[in-house]
Amino acid sequence: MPDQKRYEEFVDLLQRASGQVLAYINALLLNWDDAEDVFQESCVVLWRKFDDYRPGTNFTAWALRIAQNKVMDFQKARSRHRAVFSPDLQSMLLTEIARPEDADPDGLDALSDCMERLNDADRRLAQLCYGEGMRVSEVAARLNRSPQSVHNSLRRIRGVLLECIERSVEREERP
Amino acid sequence: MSERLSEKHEPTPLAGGARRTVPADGGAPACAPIADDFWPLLDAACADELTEEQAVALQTHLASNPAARREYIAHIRLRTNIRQWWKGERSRALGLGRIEAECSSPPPPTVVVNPPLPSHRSPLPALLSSDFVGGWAFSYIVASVFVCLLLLGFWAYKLPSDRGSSIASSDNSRRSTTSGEESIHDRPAPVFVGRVTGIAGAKWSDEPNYIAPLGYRVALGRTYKLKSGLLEITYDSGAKVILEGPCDYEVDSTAGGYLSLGQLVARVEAGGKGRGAGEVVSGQLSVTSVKEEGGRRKEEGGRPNAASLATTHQPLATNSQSPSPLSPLPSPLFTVRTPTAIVTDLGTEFGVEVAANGDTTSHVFQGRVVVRAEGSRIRGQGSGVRGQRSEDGKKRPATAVAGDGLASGTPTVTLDAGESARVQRDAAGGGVVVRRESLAAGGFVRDLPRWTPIKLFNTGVGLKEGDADPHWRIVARSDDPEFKPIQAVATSVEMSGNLPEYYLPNNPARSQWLSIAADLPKVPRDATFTFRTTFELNGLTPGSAFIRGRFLADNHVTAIRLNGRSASIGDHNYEPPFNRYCSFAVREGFVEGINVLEIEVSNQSPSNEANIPSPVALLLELEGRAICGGRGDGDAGLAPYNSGGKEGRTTSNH
Repeated sequence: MPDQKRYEEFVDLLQRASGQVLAYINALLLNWDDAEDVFQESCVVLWRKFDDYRPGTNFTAWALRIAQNKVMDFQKARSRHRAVFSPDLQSMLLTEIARPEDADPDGLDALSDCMERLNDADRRLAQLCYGEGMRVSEVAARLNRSPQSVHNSLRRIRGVLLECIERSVEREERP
Repeated sequence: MSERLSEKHEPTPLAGGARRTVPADGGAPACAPIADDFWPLLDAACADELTEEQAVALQTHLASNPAARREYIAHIRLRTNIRQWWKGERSRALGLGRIEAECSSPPPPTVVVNPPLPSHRSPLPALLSSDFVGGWAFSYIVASVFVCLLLLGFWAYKLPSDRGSSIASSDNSRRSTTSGEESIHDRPAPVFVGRVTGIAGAKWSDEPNYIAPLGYRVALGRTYKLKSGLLEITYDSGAKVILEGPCDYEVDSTAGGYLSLGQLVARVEAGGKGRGAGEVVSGQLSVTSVKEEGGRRKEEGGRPNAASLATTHQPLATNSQSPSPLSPLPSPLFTVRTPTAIVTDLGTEFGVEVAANGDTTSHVFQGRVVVRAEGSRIRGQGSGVRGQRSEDGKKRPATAVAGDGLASGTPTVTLDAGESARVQRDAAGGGVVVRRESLAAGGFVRDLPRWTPIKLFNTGVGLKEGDADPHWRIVARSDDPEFKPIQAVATSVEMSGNLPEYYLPNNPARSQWLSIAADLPKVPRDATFTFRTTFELNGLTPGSAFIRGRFLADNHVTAIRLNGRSASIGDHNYEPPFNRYCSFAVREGFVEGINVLEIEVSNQSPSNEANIPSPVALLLELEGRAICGGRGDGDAGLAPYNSGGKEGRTTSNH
């Protein structure tokens, strides 16, 4: 039975890192359902190897490396998921996502606020396409719009949300 | 594919730089513009619709342009967060909808009035209580992590070998492996047949400390050994079984299982109603529905390692085109097999109980089932069908299909709603007999108990400043023995002369400051005010109830009492600014019917030695749950609600 304190330490670290780890796996796999599976498998490995982790060092970076290996495992085992991104690119993306200033465990707080600020149509569009994972073509048909029009709207919405989140985080950081 | 990365932990030199600025590394200058054709690729990636060709093109952009990588990561991360946020939102919505439906008549409906409390930096138990936190999306993520972690980690890693074999060593089940040593993909892929969709106080006979895997997928061949409590499995077909401990149940088919001990209730509705889409019986998070409601299923058929046997439902809750590798015979019907019987569903809800000696009792709640006795020798009928043997040599009865009658010579009995039958070994030895019996059906648990929100009100929620709060009263004032109880009033805290952040601003949609009047009146230093709210626990189990809250007080909360029983209060300030919440939890003292929660707010301040009159006010947010339905007093608890976290901490505020 794992020591409870150690366990809680792991939970705390994982909580802080999980947003980056899941996003990283998503970035490599380009399939959201698969990414969640690999994410879960990565968490298991993280826990098992947690004794290897040295307190005070960069847990997120360690977790991302393990996640990258799990992605490689996954891609190797699934022929249709051939390695889309080269290992070098995977490492570059790892470096990109592991930036300390991007460690934002409260990112969902800011996102939640920003989602509320979207107008109803934009929020619904983001929910359908990104939340529920409906195909853009299906959403477009439902809304009697063209797929390209929906893509354009989604791009705009992403831009609005990123700006909103960035401003929100900056406000948090202001003394 | 390159070699695996080292997972030895070494401090990693991470690139610095401001948020969303372009780093000066990679194959292009930091300021290199992003080509126009990158954006449609990014759109497709975010939409999960990138083709192979597009993926190659995207790789070219990303490998050569740091700015493109930066944008890509930012957008993918946003997209990821939206998905997780929405899952959290929907899990809350699903839970509430179910609760309202279940507790509407009788007992009276309970609804959540207050928005859920944020769970920033939740302690461990709170992380595991995603259902309680409800809409707080991040806890959903972490909970899902631990569902997986505890399932794969603790089961396959910690359990005794016999348990491990039942779970992880099946050729068709997933093993957890240690990365770098052995890949899970070196083995045949698991076949998943459903999800764990409900848990109530489950304890395991072979691993007491295992935390049940709510929401996780159920692999073909997995055995659930419950010592006590309830566990609900929803098959991909929509069929559900509720296991009640003690029991041993092996999911050995896409359409049924082998119950060697204990009892279960299976529900497979006829005629397609309630089938297929994953009817949420449990009221807890239905991962099946989460997975599929989005209008896009995983492409199971296109994957060599199909992770689920998603089925259609003709004629009943299974797919005869996808027979279980473990099932002795492919059956189009949902079937529960036991050491002595085969109970085959004909579109119904039925219970099965297996005694330690293998005797099987079946009872039909709705619809019809066929019960077929299985044994090597049937009294009075000569030899019956020989049960097949599994790989471990255990005797398994063959699967019966409704309508095959007595072709095998094995006695069958058809049961309609309200009818029961017992299949037991003949005292003379060897054979089994089937007897119709009149049984009380009360011994079966047909629905899981649910965590139900308690109807609670934050201070001032939904009011305008100056409005009396219909849910909060001030019932006592220490400096006035003649004080008559009054409704507390939503008070403005934007006093002239105050610092801008002296008080957390009112938020009518969530909570507001209450005082004895609208203008934040000043009262003597020694005065203590008792704020009171009441709530009902009708139809809910008091022993299971739980409330957590957080407050801000000018100047200090000196007591929190539920029905006169004090709860602990965390350290908090006497002095302004009053903008850092203090959390608390109440776990004891609940009673059936009306409950009284009182908060004493003192105007004492150590710095106010001159005894100058000053304002008194309280802002408080509450949420709580209790078990609705099921048996018992709730001591066992439901898995998602084993809070008991580090309440009482002072947490940072917005």
